[in-house]
Amino acid sequence: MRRFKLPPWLADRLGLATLLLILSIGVIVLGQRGVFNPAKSGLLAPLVPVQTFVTQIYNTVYNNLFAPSDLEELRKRNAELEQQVAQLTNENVQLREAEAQLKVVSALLDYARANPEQRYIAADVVGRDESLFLRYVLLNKGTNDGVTRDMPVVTDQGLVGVITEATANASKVLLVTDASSAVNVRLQDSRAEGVITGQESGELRLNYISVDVDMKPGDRIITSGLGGQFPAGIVVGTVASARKRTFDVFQEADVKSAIDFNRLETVLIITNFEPPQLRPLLGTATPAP
Amino acid sequence: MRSLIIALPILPVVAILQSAVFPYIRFLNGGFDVMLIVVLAWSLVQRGNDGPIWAFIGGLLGDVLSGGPMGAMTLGLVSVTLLIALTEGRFYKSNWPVALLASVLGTLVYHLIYLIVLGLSGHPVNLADDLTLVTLPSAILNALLMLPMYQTAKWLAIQVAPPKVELEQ
Repeated sequence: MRRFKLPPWLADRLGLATLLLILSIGVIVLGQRGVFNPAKSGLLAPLVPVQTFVTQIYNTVYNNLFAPSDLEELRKRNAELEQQVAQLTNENVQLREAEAQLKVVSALLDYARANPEQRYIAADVVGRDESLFLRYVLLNKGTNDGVTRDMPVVTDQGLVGVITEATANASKVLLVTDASSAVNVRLQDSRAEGVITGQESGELRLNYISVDVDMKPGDRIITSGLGGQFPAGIVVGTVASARKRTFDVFQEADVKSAIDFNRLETVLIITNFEPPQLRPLLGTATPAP
Repeated sequence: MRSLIIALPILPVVAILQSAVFPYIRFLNGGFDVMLIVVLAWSLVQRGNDGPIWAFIGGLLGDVLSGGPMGAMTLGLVSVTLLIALTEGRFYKSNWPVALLASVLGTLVYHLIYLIVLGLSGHPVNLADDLTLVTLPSAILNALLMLPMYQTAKWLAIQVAPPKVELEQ
């Protein structure tokens, strides 16, 4: 009886690919246990400065190409100047970039002044998640700057997310729009409490609001502080549209955040917020005999 | 060996572009999987063991810059290149329709494997929503990206490793 034999070239290809497949699965298993965290930190260290540089170039090009229409007049004037003095135009572009940056920073500064009880570190967004299914951003501040896991991240317009991983010079933020994100919130006026979760589409949805609560578009939603993940009182968004069905216990709503998560440039990391350690308390929650 | 040496500068650049520039280019909820397309294009023009190795290196770089589970992209990319390796000899030769087909099917397989790993690691996954909202538009974008990438890979392959020609006397 003839034995089936793979052609040598196919056996070679399959052998290597199978080895790499096994290695990949090994990386996943060991990665879940955090074995690669030091190696990730080492790999990120040289990548982040390059990524910062690329992001700055991209932002400069984008801001100059797609600036708001109210800068149209300014742009025309720039064009005239460009014809007259090329060097001055170049300076002008740089100044406008600085101005845009200043606007962002001054807005963040106003926010920080309005919330003096919190301490902040400003960080630039230098990258987004490589996966299309996840919503993380990469910041250019890490443990060297005092950033640690679980620190909340905000802008002057509201809650951005939470630090999930920090290396020496970079950190990753899980955005509130990610499908795995859940934030305890309350409606500012009615004080009703619920949970905002991210959706696959990148939108926000408010759940677990009792049907008895009068919820209408425009209602402001803030963090409730329950669960200890975020400080209370940070704006998350406003109700865009509410859905209530008579046979349901809870109603839900689509939520609109004031933040354009696709155009995040600079954020504030709240450094003095310490999530309460609830685990020991949960361990004692056994019913009395 | 030479093609592996050029992978070392190319793949980090691709990983950085995927993270710093391409996330801003969206079609519906889909986006470009640049690393996948680069690895696929190279696997198609440079048949051999290069594809899986490029996939492994590129996947690890992508995982480092991602908040997802370490190894998820690596497994997805290596699996796709394994499928490409299985087609070797089945087609007369690689050409652009094959490349287009590979980009669409490769996107489906890559996303499916990635979502399975994501689900197994505890991330909430809605397979139907993810595949329709993200994967389908991404497959279209990736097919568009494949055309120039395939031509570039062909040109690069000739520069790096010109095909051997035997002369009869």
